Amino acid sequence: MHSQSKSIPLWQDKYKRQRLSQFIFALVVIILTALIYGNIVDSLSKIGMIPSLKFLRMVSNIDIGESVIEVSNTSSNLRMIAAGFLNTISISFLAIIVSTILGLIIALCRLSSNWIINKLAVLYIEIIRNIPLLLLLLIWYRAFFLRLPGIKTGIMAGERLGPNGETLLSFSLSNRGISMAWFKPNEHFQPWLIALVLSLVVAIGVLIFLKRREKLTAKEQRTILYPTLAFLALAVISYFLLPNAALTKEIPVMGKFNISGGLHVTAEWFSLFSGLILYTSAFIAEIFRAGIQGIPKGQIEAARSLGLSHMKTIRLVIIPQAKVVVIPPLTSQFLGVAKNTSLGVAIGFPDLFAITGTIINQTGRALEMIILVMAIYLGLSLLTSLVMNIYNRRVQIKER
Amino acid sequence: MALELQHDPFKTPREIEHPLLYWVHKNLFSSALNTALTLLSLTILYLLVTKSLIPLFSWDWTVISANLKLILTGSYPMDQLWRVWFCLWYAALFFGLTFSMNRTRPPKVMYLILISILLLALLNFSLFNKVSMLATALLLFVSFFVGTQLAQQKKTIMVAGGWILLLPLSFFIIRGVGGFLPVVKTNLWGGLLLSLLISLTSIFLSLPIGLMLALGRRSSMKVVKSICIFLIETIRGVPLITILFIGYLILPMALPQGWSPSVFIRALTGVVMFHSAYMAEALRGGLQGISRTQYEAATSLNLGPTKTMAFIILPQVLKRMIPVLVNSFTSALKDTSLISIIGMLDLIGISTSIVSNPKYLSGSAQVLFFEGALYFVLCFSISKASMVLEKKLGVTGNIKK
Repeated sequence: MHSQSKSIPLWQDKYKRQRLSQFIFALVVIILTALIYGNIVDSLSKIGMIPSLKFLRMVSNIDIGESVIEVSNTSSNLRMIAAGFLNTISISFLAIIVSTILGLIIALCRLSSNWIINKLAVLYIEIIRNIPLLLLLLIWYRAFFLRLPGIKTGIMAGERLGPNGETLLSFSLSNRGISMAWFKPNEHFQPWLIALVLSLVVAIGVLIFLKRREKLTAKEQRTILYPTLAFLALAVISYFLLPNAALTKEIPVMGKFNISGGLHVTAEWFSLFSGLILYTSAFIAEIFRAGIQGIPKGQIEAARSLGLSHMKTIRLVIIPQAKVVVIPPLTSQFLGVAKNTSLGVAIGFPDLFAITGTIINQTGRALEMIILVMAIYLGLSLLTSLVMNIYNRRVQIKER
Repeated sequence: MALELQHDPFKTPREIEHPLLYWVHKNLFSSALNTALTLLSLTILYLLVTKSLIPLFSWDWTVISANLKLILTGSYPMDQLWRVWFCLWYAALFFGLTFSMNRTRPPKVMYLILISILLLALLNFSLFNKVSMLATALLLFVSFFVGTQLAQQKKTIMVAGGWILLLPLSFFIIRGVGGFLPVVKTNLWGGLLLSLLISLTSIFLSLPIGLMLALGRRSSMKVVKSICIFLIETIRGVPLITILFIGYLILPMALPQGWSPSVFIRALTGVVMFHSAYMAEALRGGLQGISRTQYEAATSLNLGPTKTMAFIILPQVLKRMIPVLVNSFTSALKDTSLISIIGMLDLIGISTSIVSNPKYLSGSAQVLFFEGALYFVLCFSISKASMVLEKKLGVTGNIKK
């Protein structure tokens, strides 16, 4: 054996050949990377810069229109990035939930036997899927919001004079966005928050109890309905039982230049949000439709011949099977939403990417910022696919 | 004597008597819920038509007709426009030939293209452009009917060669070469022309790069495999706009001193990088669809791994991938709109520069709607064409079920 392997020439020994070519490949990649890095450092040093992360601690001088956390133009660049990241997260989270619901409704319309509803759904899906998202966002922002009148002359409802002579509003729609009356937490909020956490604990307890009973009795339990009801009931009861109301109704007040108080949704946020849900829901609708139509007709006929009602067929036969097919493409749609939020930069929504762009403009730290932002998006993608993979493994039909 | 049925035995008497009424009842008013839904959607439809569709006609659309040339070709020199037309004629020629494969009558898509061209010709173009437009439509149909007369084998070679030549030829003609054709610099390209060129090029270039990445990912060599996985997953995990920024900001730094790529090249690099990763995943799917018996048969014929790939596996994969490729062109066309964010004057970017002219300040909605219609017609007809191709090429033999 030993002598034989020695007699094989190098270029005919598959094992050695592979190792050699791998080595050469790795070498080429390393040399290329080093060359590129050297070039970058070279061109940076020409303008007197060396790659470093010190700029993250410096004052940003950026003003952004909206943020989940408190920021001002004296906040550090790092805090600005955090603000942008939270904006991205919050808008994509909301958009994912709303577009999934909307997508389900459109998919049902698409599958309806009603001719006109069916055709309307087809029209919606085909139009949205063949238009770039960027165009949708621009249409919302430039063709809708920017054409609206200013706040003084915008569309208003429930105008009235307040006790101090100021103008109160219930609702306002203008080129700045939407304002409406809203309940906001006040200084008595903390006790109710504790009550909310306790009700959540109770709801989870109910869920665990029902799951256990389901296993013991082998009878289907309402594992979604009862815990939800328990939570809602406890939350409402505790709100009224507490001596001080935890929420106060805030009414928007018309100021000199803008509207203060109440819930204010900026034009940028609303354009991005509605663009995202319109776009994503059309794709999600097609995923749901494919999932439902992919179920063999025999399954439904079998369910019917077992005497299951229409609703039970959907709940017990169609949904469990469609769920398995639908989840992988749905995951990539959800990831797509988080990535598509970056298009907010075109309409001035301060998401992670827009803030990155501004910081690059101000500090010139393109290399560091792009690597940082890519790492954040990659982390987000990995996290989402991890969660969805765990869920996917749980709903996967177990085969022996 | 054979029994002759006067009516279709599967139809009820009511259906035969009043087919229209029966259809309306069955499809619109079969139950209380259905009736309610029908009425609801009729109301929505009525509101849509009266509140948004009809007011559209009362808008001032002069912003479109005044800037039509800008929207379609950007600042491309007027006197050189025939070069763009030439490329379009070439494309029309091979579109017609492609459609004539395996069929004798024009498909619906061709009529859709004809109608859109005729509608476009109604707008106020110069006589030369109108004639060129009609010539495009004429060429499409003539090449179709000529194609039906040609032998299948000959046609296949012609079509394949024609499509491969399309892009290099277009670049050669549209950009021009010093001495032969006057050079039109890339910063003058714009509008639909730029969007189409960038997305077409990105598909053409991302195919070989994606193929290498896909083969690398399936390789048994661990180093190659992990590098390919790293590249593919990194690009797929981040938004396109970050990749575009890499091309825009990092590429000029990463290249040796003195090389300063134009914005066009920088944008193209970003788009190609992005699409290569997605193309790699699509191709990997195609490669996985090939049955193992194909590899075994090739081995038993004493073909090495390279020859197996080149002569047995890839031809099958690529043939299967044609509809996917055509479809990925629509997503490339849509994605390309993002290059406007890095300042290119593509279909979207040009709209910003048009409405920044104080004369057309109020026309932004019109421009955006017109561009939306352009995108829709293009993407919709391409995706329909890919469906036609998918049916025609079929998934035949040797494919793992």
